Amino acid sequence: MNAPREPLLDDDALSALHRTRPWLYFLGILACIGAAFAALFILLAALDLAVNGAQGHLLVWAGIVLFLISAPTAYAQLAYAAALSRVTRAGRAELPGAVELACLRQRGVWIVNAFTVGVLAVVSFFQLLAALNLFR
Amino acid sequence: MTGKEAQVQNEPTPEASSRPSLTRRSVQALAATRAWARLAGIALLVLAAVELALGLANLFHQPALPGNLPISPAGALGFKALDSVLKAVAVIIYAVTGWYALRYARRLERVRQPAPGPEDIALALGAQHRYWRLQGVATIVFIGLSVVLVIAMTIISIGLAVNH
Repeated sequence: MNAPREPLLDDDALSALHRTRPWLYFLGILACIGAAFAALFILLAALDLAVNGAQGHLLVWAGIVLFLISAPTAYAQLAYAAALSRVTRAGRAELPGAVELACLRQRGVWIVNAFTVGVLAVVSFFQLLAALNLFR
Repeated sequence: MTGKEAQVQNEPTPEASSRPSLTRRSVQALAATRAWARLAGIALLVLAAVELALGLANLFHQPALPGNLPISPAGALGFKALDSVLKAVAVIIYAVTGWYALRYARRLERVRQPAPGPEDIALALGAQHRYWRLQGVATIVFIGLSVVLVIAMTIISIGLAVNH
């Protein structure tokens, strides 16, 4: 009995990977800018905290949460985009290896995506509780 | 379709045999993504519901502008309307991207079969491409609307400064 054959890579699959690449670069660069802004925000809020005392405390935490969301997102998305660029450049012999790297990195992107959206959902939920004055 | 039938169906034609195939690790990585895509989709739908509730709570209970800014009732209403539009767009974006993520997870279900065909891989990767394209377009729309909101707030602030 033959072992199960690995699925072939058809043109539609390769085309889908090629068309995904620019969007991942775009989103990854935006996440990079977000991480840089978050780092700047943390620095300014920390300075404010040092000068004005406890008032800047919440801002530092907001900056840290923003940084923890945007930095891993930027890394994962740009790494996946780079792997997709390798798929675009790869010849026939290197294609399975390049696609394998892209598949592994897309899993990483989705893990970070699920984590990020989960954190946002939890933060929004607490915002809702605060808006409804349920903490009183 | 049994595993054996699928295997027979996936026997390559002479034309297809010249194409490269996915490695086993690639298929495993795609199959392992399903749970994360589903989690992201559910979290996005929860986020949409929470943001909707938050928007409604702010609409009926919160003042239009923070602090005691001396602003006309019409200006406050305009600001509140713009803020509500931004929140409504966010809710729609979260809900639609959540649905797209769940659709990608459903397509990956077929990749987890014992012998997935090339069309299953193409369908899954196509669904993933549509998800990221939607994320990109939604981000552009959201940034555009945020810029409009900032400009509106700046105009209101300048107007207040001139009047006082």
